[in-house]
Amino acid sequence: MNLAEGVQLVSFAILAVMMIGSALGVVLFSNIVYSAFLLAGVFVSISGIYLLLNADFVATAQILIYVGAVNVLILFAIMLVNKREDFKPLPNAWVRPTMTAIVSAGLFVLLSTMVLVTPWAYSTESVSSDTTIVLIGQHFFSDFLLPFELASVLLLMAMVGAIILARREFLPDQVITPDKQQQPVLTLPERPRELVGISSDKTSNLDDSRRSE
Amino acid sequence: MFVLSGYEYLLGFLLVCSLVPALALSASKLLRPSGGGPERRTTYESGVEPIGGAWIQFNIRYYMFALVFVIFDVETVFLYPWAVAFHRLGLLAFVEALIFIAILVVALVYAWRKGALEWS
Amino acid sequence: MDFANLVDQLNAGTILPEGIVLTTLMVIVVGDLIVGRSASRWIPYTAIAGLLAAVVALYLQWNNPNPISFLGAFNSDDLSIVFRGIIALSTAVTILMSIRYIEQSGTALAEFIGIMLTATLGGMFLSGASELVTIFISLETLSISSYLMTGYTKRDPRSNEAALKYLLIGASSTGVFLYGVSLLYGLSGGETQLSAIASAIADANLSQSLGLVISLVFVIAGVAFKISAAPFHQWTPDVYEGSPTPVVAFLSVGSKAAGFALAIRLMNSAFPLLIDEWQFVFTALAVLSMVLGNVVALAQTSMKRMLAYSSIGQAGFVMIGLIAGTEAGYASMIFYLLVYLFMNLGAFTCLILFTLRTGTDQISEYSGLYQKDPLLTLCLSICLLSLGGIPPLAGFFGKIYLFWAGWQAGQYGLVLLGLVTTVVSIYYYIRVVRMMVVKEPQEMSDAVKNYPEVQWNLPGMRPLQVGLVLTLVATSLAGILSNPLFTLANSSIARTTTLQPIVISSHFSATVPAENSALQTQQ
Repeated sequence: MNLAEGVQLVSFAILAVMMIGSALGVVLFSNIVYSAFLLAGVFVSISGIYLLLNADFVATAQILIYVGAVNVLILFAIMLVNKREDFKPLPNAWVRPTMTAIVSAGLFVLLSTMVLVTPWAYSTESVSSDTTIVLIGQHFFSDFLLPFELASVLLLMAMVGAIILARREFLPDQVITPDKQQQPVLTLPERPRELVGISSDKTSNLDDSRRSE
Repeated sequence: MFVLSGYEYLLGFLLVCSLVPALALSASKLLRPSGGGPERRTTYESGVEPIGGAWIQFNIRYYMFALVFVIFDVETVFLYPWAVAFHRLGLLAFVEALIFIAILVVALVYAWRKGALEWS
Repeated sequence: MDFANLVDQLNAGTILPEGIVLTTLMVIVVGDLIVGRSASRWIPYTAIAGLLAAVVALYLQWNNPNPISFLGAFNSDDLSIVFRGIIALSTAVTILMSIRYIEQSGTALAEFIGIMLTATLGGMFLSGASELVTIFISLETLSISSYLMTGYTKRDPRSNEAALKYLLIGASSTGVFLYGVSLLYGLSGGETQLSAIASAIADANLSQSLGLVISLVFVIAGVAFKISAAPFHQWTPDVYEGSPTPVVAFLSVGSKAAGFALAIRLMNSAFPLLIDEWQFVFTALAVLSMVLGNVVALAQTSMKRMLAYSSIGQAGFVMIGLIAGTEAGYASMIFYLLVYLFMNLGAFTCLILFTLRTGTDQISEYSGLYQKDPLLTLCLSICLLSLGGIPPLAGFFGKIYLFWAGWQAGQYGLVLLGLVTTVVSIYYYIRVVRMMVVKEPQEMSDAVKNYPEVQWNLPGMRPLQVGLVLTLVATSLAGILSNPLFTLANSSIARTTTLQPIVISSHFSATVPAENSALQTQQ
């Protein structure tokens, strides 16, 4: 084993421990803010593994997008609804985590068996002398042109949708449309379903009185 | 297979990075007078006394900015390979990138017109 | 390497219909920005015109001799053209019914139509995508737009709940799908073209490996979520109940058609080696969907929820054609989807009209509607009976064709189950019809008693009326005059090379080197 391989092995071990540790932290911490910060740790470790795989551009993009933008967005969303609520512990609360653990462990065993059993077909193409970024650029504008252009439409609509859903609405006064519609703005026209136990007569009386107003 | 070539600088940089806080903390430990009252334990806020906790509810405006930032961040990542490989790609790629940018300019104008970029 | 040569290689003319839709989308977004709120008068009609133009462009590309474009990323064969047509048409009809609904809910119309056109664009690309990255991006375009539309009435807790549920379940199913697809990429040694993947896996002798089976299961999980087949249907009732009704109409027709297009192409091009396995998995899905969808629909009190479960059941019927795996099977799927487009959208148009007039969608509130609004009653009855498969209507012929194709392919048990569940489904469709028609005047529900006078001149009502009459006519005539649709479905399958099992092996070896050399000259 030469030096380079040794460095690679050690780095992989460090990154793997970091990733699994912080991923466990994300799931197990009850404080959601800690979970969010540890998620950033997971992303950083993944980016390190990309570096080990010679994918430098993907590693940079991972840090730039996931740590720099997505994780910050997650943190903002958490701080936005910074409500501390103490939930009463449910009876038999251990059932759900146990079930989840069993299912996850089963999935892990299945997938790792699959990884070990399958004779993978390694790509025989030699690594080009070009840097990866140039290669990615060439693929973007030849065989992956269609998804590349479609991604711009996707981003446009994500932006439009995000703005329309997240912006504060300046609600027009109901006076503009006097009693032609009883429906409050930005809701479904269907009335919510009646809950079981409320007799239908009572609600329909309410509706009648609302209509006559 | 893989050789960690070209990452020596990154490794050195990481080492320096991890040394800096350790050095700073141990240096101040050596230099500063020991002891001190409860004043020393408070957060340094440029001389102003800190009020309340740090975990307060954020304003929704931050969220809007972060949202718009994510989308333009992704766009930048998409355009970066084009810029690097520009000389090899030729005219057609230029036209294709222009279509990409034009669609995203519409997104920018939309965000602008709808007031998503305003701090109000 | 000159400009014209490269353009020639891309063969970009095949996505002209999508180009038209994209241009319409841009016109709508920019027009709304320039003109402002008053633009909502012309925006829906521009969108419909654009979609119809796209359908015309699709028609002109029928039987294209050179369907492969974008260096193998997109395949504009006749199969994809039919599916893209179905999706574009479903959006056009959905926009007709959404104008009044969106205005009455006080939300912005231009953005709604913009998001819906993006979803259409994603669905259309998905129908023709023959490469993994394109498939994934178009699937995401379709899904993300659907999430946005689901939560569009953002002040309504039901809408919020629906959007959140759809987003979370959708994101996890996309993750599972992506994992399966990445296994395909790894097993084939770094191929993303569907045809190249199949031949690379066959060459590497991996056809019975565990990796391929897991990949198949994961991919089917992603597809089954899109077509809401049981047991991947849990989102359907809540999302259908909480979303704006036009969105539900789109999800149940356009989005589902895109899912079926993806299923046909992916299963036939990427998994031809596991044909027994995927037919088995889809058989299980079809059985569960038909039984669960049709039985649970019996117990529903809300019209939207009932149609949600009915759409799960209908997806089960359509899967019979996929499982049959013959040309007749695929043709019957397309025929049924074409018919389903009109009858289901017709039912949703009626639902919207009733909701807008009375503010409810409870089934019990429909009682005695016949006396107040005969047109609505007629249209809803025809569409529901057609969905149930009552003889002279379009749905009957669609079901007969599906069952016949399944029977020919030897799926006797499945066809028998389909017949039994059809009878069950007729029960709950007829229940609504009976509720509307047979009641005495004193049995009228409160909503119908207070039924407002039928006014068609309110803004946005005229297109709703047009959509109502259009779907009514299509549903009642498509049964009797089904021959053109029949021919369309059959010829689209007959000309699609990837669906002929014998041709597959020779087809791969012929096209793959040509595409590779094209790529090399490009670089």
